[in-house]
Amino acid sequence: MVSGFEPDTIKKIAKMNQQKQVRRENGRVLATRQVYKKLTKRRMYWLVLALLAVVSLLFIDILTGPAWLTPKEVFAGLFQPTAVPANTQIIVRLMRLPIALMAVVVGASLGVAGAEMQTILNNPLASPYTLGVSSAASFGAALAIVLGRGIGPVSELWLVPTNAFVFAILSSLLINLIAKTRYGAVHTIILTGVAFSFLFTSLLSFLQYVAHENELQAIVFWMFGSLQGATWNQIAIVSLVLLLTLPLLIRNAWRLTALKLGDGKVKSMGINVEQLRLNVLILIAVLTAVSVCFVGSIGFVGLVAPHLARWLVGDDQRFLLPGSALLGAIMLSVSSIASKLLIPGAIFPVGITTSIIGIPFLLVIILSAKRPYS
Amino acid sequence: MLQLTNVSYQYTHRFVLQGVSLQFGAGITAIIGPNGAGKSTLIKCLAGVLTPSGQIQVNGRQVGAAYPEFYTEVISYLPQAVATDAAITVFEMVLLGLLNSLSLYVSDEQIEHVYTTLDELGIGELASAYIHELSGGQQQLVAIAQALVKEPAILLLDEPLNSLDIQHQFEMLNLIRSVTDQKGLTTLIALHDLNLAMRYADQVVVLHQGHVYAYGAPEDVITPSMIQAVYGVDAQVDANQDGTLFVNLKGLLPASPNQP
Repeated sequence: MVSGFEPDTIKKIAKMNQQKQVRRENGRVLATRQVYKKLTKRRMYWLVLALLAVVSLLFIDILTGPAWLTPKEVFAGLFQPTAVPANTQIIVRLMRLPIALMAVVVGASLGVAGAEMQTILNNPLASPYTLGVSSAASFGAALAIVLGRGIGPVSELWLVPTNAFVFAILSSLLINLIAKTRYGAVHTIILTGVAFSFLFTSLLSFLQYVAHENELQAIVFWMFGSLQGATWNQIAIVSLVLLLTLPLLIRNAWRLTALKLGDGKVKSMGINVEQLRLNVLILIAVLTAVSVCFVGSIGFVGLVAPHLARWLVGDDQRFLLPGSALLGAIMLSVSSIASKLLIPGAIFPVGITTSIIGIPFLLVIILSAKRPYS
Repeated sequence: MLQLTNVSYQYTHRFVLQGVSLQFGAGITAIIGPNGAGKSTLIKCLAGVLTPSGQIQVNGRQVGAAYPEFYTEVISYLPQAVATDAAITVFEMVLLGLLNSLSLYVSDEQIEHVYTTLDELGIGELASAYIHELSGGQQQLVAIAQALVKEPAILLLDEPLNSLDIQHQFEMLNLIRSVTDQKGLTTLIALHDLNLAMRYADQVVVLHQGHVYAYGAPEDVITPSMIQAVYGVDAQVDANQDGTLFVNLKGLLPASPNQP
């Protein structure tokens, strides 16, 4: 080879290039070594941001309504009740705070339930209502409304929610039982759920057919889904269930994340996939039934919130679980606020606004398909 | 030493494995046989995906409920279909291979261990890529990394060459060869390609209709008569100039039961 350089110079250049290459490689290695920590940090930021959003929305939810309050009044109403007039105090503490808190805890419960349903069924279309919990609860509520009595001795105030809860749980447990005979197969769970859903919808139609006019109105209103009847007791129950189930799920976070790898791979790591699936199914049933029985069937939160969360923090359940809870809370809070703004002076049932609010969110994720959302 | 004694597996009516008794030591064992011969079923029985009858022992210790470490520590299984549709990065995919030792907080050692495994397979730069963004060959490499990260003693690979082009098939087998030798693994691979089995395997098991048809060194097992009997295909085994053997396939036998 003909070259204009002395052999020494060529060697020197080669050595320099080599050193440059090594420096470049070292830099790259250091950079890639940070990838996971950066990813984790970014996900933490999203969770903190979502938490701040929940708190702000809670505040705004209390602020909005037929009588608008200033942020100062809300703040004082919450933390210095004596500093504001009695009627402001009543609006903040008795009327709006329970509803706003109920939106947060129910939204969070449905978000978590939806995320887990999508996880254990490995199906992006799954939601807490896939198992017919919603129609079973609606039927239970309607039965209580039409018959004026429920299962067991309960006071009239708790009649409808108790009946809704009992039917929601019964239907879930029955599906669980059937699924168990087929070793918790995903298809069995989905098909049985759909079948039960149809069954209870038919039964509900029958009740609506025979119901009196005012009963029919009550049934329809219940099914719209509304936060207006929220009480402190209800908030306490929903929160307690959420606080009890969330740690159980978080404890299984890695196993639940691994379900994405397929049953075979997970089983080969010594994990009883069927048992895990059926256990989580029970937790989902309780979370959903407790929420639905108090506020009616508020759809869509359980379907959309997990997708939003996955879009932000990925499929790692350590982040997806809290993320779904927070986004569920955000969605229902936004819906609650919107239900008061749609027509000034009037309050819509929140179930109606939830879907209207939720669909644009879902479309945004579908259309920005940079990252998978399935 | 992995020892199977009279292992059988039955779907509702049909035996897919019947009375399989085998012994595997360190090195690569290829499991060959036509479709439905029981290759995947055998791998799945060893991986704990299916529960067979009969006995499976490792170094004399019975595999079963009383020996959970067999699944959590000893074996790694690579299924035929690798998951690709999750919002999970390559790093997390490999991290999940450590499932049995993960707690809520991922330790620095675990993170470093994942990076080392990725680097060993030359896919360190893919760490932050989402699994669905990768090519089929890269996805397969990630799956291998996921299987290797927990440092198993036994590697169970169910048709790991599926969907790979010929270059990647060779690269994958070279990789499997080198990790098997370096770490002294007992590696079982379900394979379709007889020539690759001939070239890469230390031992070959031929399964036919759920039975072990033959077991031994590749050159003893992969013979024209075996290929005729098991596959119904006419073939001869020739030698290359360097003395390595290769299978020369002629076509279906005239009276082959596989013929339409």
